[in-house]
Amino acid sequence: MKKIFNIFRGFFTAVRDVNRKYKQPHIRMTRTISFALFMLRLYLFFIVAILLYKFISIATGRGLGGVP
Amino acid sequence: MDFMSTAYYDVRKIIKFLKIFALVAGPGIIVMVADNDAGGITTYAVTGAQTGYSLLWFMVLMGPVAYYVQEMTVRLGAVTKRGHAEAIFYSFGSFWGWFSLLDLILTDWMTMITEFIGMTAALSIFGVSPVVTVLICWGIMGFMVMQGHYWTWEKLTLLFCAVNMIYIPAAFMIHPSLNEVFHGFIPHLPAGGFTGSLFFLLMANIGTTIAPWMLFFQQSTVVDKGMQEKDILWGKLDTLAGSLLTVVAAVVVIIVAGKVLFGQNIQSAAQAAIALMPVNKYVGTFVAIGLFDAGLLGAVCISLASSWAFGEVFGWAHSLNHKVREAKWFYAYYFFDLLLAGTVTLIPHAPLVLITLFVQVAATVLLPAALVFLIILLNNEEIMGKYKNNRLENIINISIVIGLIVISTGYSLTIVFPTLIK
Amino acid sequence: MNQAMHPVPESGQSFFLSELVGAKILRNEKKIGRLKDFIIKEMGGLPQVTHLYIALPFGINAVVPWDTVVAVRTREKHIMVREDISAYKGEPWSNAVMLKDHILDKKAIDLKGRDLEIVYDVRLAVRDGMLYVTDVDLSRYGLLRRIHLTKLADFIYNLAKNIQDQTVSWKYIQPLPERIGRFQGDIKLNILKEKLKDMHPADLADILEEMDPTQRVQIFEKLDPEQASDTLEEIDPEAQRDLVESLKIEKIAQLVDEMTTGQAADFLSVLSVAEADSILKRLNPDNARKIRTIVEHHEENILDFATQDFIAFSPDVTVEQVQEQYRYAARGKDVVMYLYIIDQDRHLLGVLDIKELLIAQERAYLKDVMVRSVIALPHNSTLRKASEFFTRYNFRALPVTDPDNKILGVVTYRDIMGLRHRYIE
Repeated sequence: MKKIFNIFRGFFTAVRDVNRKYKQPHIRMTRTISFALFMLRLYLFFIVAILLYKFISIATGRGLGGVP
Repeated sequence: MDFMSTAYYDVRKIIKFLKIFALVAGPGIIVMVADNDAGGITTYAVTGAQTGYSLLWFMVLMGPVAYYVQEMTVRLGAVTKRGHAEAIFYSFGSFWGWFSLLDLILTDWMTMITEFIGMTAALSIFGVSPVVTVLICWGIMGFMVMQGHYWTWEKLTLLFCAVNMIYIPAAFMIHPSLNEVFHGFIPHLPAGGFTGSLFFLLMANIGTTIAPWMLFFQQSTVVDKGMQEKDILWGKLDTLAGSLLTVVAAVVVIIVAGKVLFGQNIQSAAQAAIALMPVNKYVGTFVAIGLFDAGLLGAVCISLASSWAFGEVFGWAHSLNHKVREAKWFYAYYFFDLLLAGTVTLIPHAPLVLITLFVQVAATVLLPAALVFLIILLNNEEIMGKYKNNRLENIINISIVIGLIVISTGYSLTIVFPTLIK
Repeated sequence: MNQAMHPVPESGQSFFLSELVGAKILRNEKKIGRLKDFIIKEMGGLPQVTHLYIALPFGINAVVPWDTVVAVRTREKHIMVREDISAYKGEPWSNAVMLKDHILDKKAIDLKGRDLEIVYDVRLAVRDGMLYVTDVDLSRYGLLRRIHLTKLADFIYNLAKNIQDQTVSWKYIQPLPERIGRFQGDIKLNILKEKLKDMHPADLADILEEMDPTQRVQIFEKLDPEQASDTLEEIDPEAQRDLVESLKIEKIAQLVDEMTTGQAADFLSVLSVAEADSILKRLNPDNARKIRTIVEHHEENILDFATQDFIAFSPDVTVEQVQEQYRYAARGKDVVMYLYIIDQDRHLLGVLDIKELLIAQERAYLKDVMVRSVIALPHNSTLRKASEFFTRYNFRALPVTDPDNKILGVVTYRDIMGLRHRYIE
């Protein structure tokens, strides 16, 4: 039990170390780059929203054509 | 006399060139051949069965697309000496880093399952039970990475790449009409015109051309191989050779399926192999062997891609030049991936179709991000110096990237909502 | 025989920590708890066990001084104590060094073997009523004993007697903290730092590779420039990159400047192009140009790997004079094991091994004792040619000469045979 706990703790420490190491983006944020990253975020929201919609429509049974 | 001596030095120059190529080549060929993994072969078989030779010309277009995208990873790896995952964390911070890493791990893991499905299906044609197949795969894949030398791994993998060319003799054995094949290379639409199912097929073929793991894999391989800036030209040639091979493999699979199975309802490569058996035993066998080999190559590379990415980000020792004892976590994750994917394949009634579908969607979430990052990094003068994209490369690469994003998004949307087209 | 009658445990008795952890603690033949750990104290020589850390029922712990122990019996796996231990209830003090918790399974530097190993077990011995830590077991046998497969372990022991050699005396063991500061035994690291100076760069590199980046930088900054430069070159590429990221670029450039061109190119080729560039800009332009040639092109002309830092004398000086001047002449040179004898136009006349110099007649002139038939590399040789020469003649350095027999530089064995070359031509 303690072993497992230790493994998890080690894992979280590792993740925290990574977060600290890469806290700041090292690339200089020009307008183009921040625009591209912004578009990426929009795209991701779009994809996630669509997947959620699909998931809900399957779950509620009013599917728009179910999973093949 | 003068002619003789200049000729002598020309030959010397060519020999030196070839020697360097032999030393540097590897990553590009491997990633491109492995790109024709179990899922890829299935897509080609289905394409051949549905459209005959009509889409051969389209396959040729896939070569440059794959080349231009992958070539960027060669430059990025050789210049920064860092893998793709590390480059994303470093340049874009931990949010995009974690997003890419986790999505990569997820996609890779599920793609691994599809590779195992392909391999078990291929060997079951020879009457090998899935359990035995999975055990064999674990054995081979373990052996390939465990010897502690990148060089040995690369040569072994290149051997499997050579086996992948088994489709070429298969295509010759069915004696396709050269005239018809030639006709297939002239751009045209198949009989029936532009239909929903044709559109779907085209998108599927583009979707298999570039997968997220390929970017991560080739860059990590370039770094692990210790490629330097002076090797960039040869690295590009390596990638070019690889992209030629990937097109050749795709074309011959389509020829085989187009000649023999045209008009039949084929759902997978294994099914194609079975259907080929009564026509020509050897061709069927070759296709089955090729499918197994494709799955194996894919599984090795994909698993390594995740291991490398993890290692880079967490700072574990992560090189095939390390012994297992020296890079425990790197190898541990590799085997974890293998065992997990292999075991899932063996679960009876596992929702494999759902997984295949999910692979595509997860890849579509990651691919645009990875491609955009690639373009941004390759345009950064601080990082790339004189090796950054020039204007022509930018025009080509950016249009390819936009095209890939639009099409792969469209593809996965049509998978999720099958009623969108038709 | 009733051992409980003895006032202290028998002298000469020895046992492994793994055999005792979890042992029953008996008082008047009745079980009162189990052994959790030993608390040790370092007193110059071997560490001494001062307390036992015992688990009593109901989750209560006790820290009991060693002198309450009257007998230790490994076969029955029990430890007998004299007093009522309820008076010692409590937890160990914060900086107590625990044998099992802090030493076992820790990586240790075995300074004799210069290797990093995992401590699988610890051997304890009783001397004059006190319990000392004597050896550390680094063998897999220790691991087997830990997981209670002693029978199997004994069997393997008999098969391979040499495994026993992996028990290493405590004197050579310096446990490495997981993280500086968190570990209680900070003293250990200081000892380590003192010993760093005597270590060979290759061994040092191995040890640094095993550490985490912060430790690495801390230790690296303690090294003097020459040692640091050699170590930086020996260390594996990942660690090299880490160090370059954490150290100041000026410092790195200074270290690279100490390297020969071949070594520098080898080192720079694992860095990102941007990092390599900023280092190259800070080097002496002539060296930088040679290094660039190696790094950026597939040219393998031996002259790019040759150093100018060798010792040259004229043929008309006496052995005695040379012996006197040698130590000044050798300062800061890359090649010190051979003297090259040249005339005013730098024609290579002969070579003299430093060993020959030491045994030569003091009155003799160099031209009389030098070897006249010098094995030299032609100026247009490639790396492969140089490596063939080194394999064939076993010299530690070879001069490079032009067609007129003028010396152009010297290449060292290490630069050719010890680096990651590809030998294209």
